[in-house]
Amino acid sequence: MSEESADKPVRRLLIVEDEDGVGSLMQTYFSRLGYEVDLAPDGYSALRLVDQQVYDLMFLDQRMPGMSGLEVLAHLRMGRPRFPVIMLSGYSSEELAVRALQMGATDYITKTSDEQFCKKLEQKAHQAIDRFAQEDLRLSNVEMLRQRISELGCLYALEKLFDVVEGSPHNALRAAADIINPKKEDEDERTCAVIRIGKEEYASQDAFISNHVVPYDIYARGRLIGVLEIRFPPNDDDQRAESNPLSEQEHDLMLSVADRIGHFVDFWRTEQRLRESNAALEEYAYVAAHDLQAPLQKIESYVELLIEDYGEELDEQARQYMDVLASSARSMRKLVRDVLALSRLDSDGLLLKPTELETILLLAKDALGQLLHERGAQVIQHELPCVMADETRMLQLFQNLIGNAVKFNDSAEPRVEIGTEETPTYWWVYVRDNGLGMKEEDTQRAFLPFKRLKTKKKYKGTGIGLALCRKIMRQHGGGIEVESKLGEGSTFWLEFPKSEEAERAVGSTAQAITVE
Amino acid sequence: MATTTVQTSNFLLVEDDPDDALLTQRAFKKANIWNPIDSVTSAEDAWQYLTQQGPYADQSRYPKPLCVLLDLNMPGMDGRELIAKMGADETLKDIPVIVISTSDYEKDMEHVRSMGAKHYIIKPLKMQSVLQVVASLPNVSVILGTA
Repeated sequence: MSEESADKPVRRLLIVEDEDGVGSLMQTYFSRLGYEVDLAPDGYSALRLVDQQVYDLMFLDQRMPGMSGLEVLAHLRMGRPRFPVIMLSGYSSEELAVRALQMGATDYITKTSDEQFCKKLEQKAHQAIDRFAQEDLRLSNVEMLRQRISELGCLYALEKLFDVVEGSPHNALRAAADIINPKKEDEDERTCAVIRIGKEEYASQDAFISNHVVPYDIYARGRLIGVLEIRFPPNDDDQRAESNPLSEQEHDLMLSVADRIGHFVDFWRTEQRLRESNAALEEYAYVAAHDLQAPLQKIESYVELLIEDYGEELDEQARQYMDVLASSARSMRKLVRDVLALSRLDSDGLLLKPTELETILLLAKDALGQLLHERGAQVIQHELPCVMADETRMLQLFQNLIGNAVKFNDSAEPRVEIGTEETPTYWWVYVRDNGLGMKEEDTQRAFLPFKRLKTKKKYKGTGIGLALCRKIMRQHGGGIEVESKLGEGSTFWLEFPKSEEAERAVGSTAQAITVE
Repeated sequence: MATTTVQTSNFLLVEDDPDDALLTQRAFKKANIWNPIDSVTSAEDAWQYLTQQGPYADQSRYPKPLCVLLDLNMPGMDGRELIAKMGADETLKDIPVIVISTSDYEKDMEHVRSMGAKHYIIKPLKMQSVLQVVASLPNVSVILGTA
């Protein structure tokens, strides 16, 4: 410590120590030396004090109940002002010492019970404060990098970033370069980070060209896909250019960062491929179905013409063949319509608004009027909730479920019962029938498109209805399940997330909001 | 329209598929509507017909039609463009257009309505729907058969 330090303001010291005896001994000792001393019995109160008060030095015990010394160090690195920290340990452990130093401790000392302990502490304290003051003056760009990275919790920040970014990875990588890079105004102390993936380059702001570069390879599934470069200001000193100016800690961090970027890019590429093939498939289904409609209509119409114009010239057998033709064309057209409806669920936006399921049910019953009447079916309706939903889709959903309940039903008195059960966060609406039911092992497969569980001959249907229902429920943030036993009917359970808006809207006219 | 002096009774059918054209003609006959239906197979031809140009220059033989029956999806100029062009033309904008489409998809119908077509009929044409849509046309006199 130099002479003029005598005029400097009083130094503040924070002792973090859970053992009362040791703590107060140190406090007395350093108070006598003219320090202002605070004593914290654990990590939590230490961090609270650090947030309220600027300290010149901290003694930090490693072994404490609750938060350990190393944990306190980790917290200190996250966006708090820097000051020297000397770790105290009850036993001598080189490993622990190294770890503490890696994590930003300035020094390390083993607690002893001899008289020399306090003297040693004093010595170390002076050294630490001294060294820290010097370092503080000439914080090299490398130190800046370390500090920035530590302060931001670089890996944490990257993770958050990659979590929130959807769609394009480009913005994420550009932002990542900024996070990795310590940006500094001072021309001489700049570094920059550049991420190169294939031909694309993502640089931190104010990136520059340099011959002084430390590269980190980026791999995805074991394949080299790019490189993360930390660039230092250009210099003519060849020797310095060859060495890695990053500390071991920073070096490790950069390796993890490169690793994480690799994972991110790989994840994104895989997702992208899936999305594309999915979209292509949906597009294909839509176009195929759409284009199939016209020729089918034509077949249907011309068979009709044939019967109209030449029906009398045909014999009974020929007329029967004609009927088969006509009904096949009709059922194929129905199938095509259902496929179209399914694929349109993807392309059309969802119009969510508070929707009274009781109203929807009325509409569904109305649309199914003929079928219900023909089968003499009874629809029993209990109280139903108001949920956030797309009306058109809800109608599709209930029309399908009630239609199925009556169609796949051999009972002399087909019955469908619709009601609700409630959990704190969900409405469970059930649609229960006394129909054919299904085998338990079939309950999962029932929701797959084109999966028919009953013979075509006896029970009409395209095999798409339940796939449509499942898709609709998923779009509403819910799900659909079925409980069933062969011969004992089925109960479909629809899960709707509860929403305050829907609840508020009960009994009042609500404003529609559009999603997507 | 003040400028049109020839009393017309014909419909114009714009349909690129002759099989469908036949079906449409049949559906109108079946509905007992006997107005002559002139057929063209493209929107470009329809435009010439409507503006009485080229082969349709003879105004007495090709008067402006009472209404246009229009298929939407055609190669070249499509039905939507024709609706837009007609809407922008002073002498044509009052001729009602009935769109004939394979799609009863709500979105498609809305789109067509937004294009200015007020009337819509879905394939396969049924007698009932033909009667309904023709009855809804303003100022269109229909020749009913006696069958």
